Amino acid sequence: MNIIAGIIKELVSLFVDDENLAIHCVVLIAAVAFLIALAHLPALIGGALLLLGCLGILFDSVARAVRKRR
Amino acid sequence: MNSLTSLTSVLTASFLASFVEVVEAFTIVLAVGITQGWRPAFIGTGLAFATLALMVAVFGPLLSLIAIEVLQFIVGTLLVLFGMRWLRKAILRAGGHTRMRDEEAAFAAETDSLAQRRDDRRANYLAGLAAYKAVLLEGTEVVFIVIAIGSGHQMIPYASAGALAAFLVVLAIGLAVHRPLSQVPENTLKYAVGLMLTAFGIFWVGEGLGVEWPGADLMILGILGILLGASLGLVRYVRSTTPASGEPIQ
Repeated sequence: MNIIAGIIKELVSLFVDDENLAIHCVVLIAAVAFLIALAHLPALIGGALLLLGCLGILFDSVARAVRKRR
Repeated sequence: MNSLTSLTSVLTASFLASFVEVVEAFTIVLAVGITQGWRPAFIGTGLAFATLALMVAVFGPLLSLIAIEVLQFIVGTLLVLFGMRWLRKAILRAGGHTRMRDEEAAFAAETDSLAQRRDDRRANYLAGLAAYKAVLLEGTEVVFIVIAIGSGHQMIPYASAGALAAFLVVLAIGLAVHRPLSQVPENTLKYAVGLMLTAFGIFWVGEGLGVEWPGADLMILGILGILLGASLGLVRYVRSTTPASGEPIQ
């Protein structure tokens, strides 16, 4: 059972390494989906928001890692 | 639409991503083979392949039951998570903040660990288990990459071909050198793969939400270019904040 638990834990870590990064990505995607589906935001603008949002999350995650080291 | 752009992108991303994973699995299997013997190494590897084949056989057909837009959305989200994780790590390594992965060190650590357990009566079992876990975990990443990259536009055969080519190339090099493949520019490959998977992920999530990307599949290259520019800027930023005498953190 320990072996299976260990394997499951490692499989989860394929997608979630920095929890903040993962949570922010999921929230961003959910927000864009909501805006497109329910708030009738033009889909292309939603796509642009998705790309910009991912860039913002990447900047934030890297900057936090650097600040943590200092 | 299976355009040349899509085909080339899928093959390249699948090959490079699988290459990195197979190299990591090879390091562990080599350590097991040299330290404990090739029987537990091959048994562990064989059982891992069987487990992976079973997973694909069970879960693979379920994909055809899911509407394409939903599949693109889910797979795209997972690709964004996977790709952003690799990209973040590659940026921090390229910037000198985090230590580069060292296949020689990983090999040495694994052989030491196995050597310490050599007198254990379960030594063969533990060695085989190490090989099984390594091949299963890295193999699961390869299967995910093949399905994720290939399922959006029914290109799983091409993505599979890329993965198989990577496996054969690593196997050929490994058999020739009998050493961990430490000369492979692993962080550069992970950087490139992180960019590609994130670009694919953003593209698929968009398609799943009904975005009609300008230029259709060519937009993957556009997204890739934007991510590349931004990430190179981030690498410069990390380098500028890393003290010259500072040791990279693990």
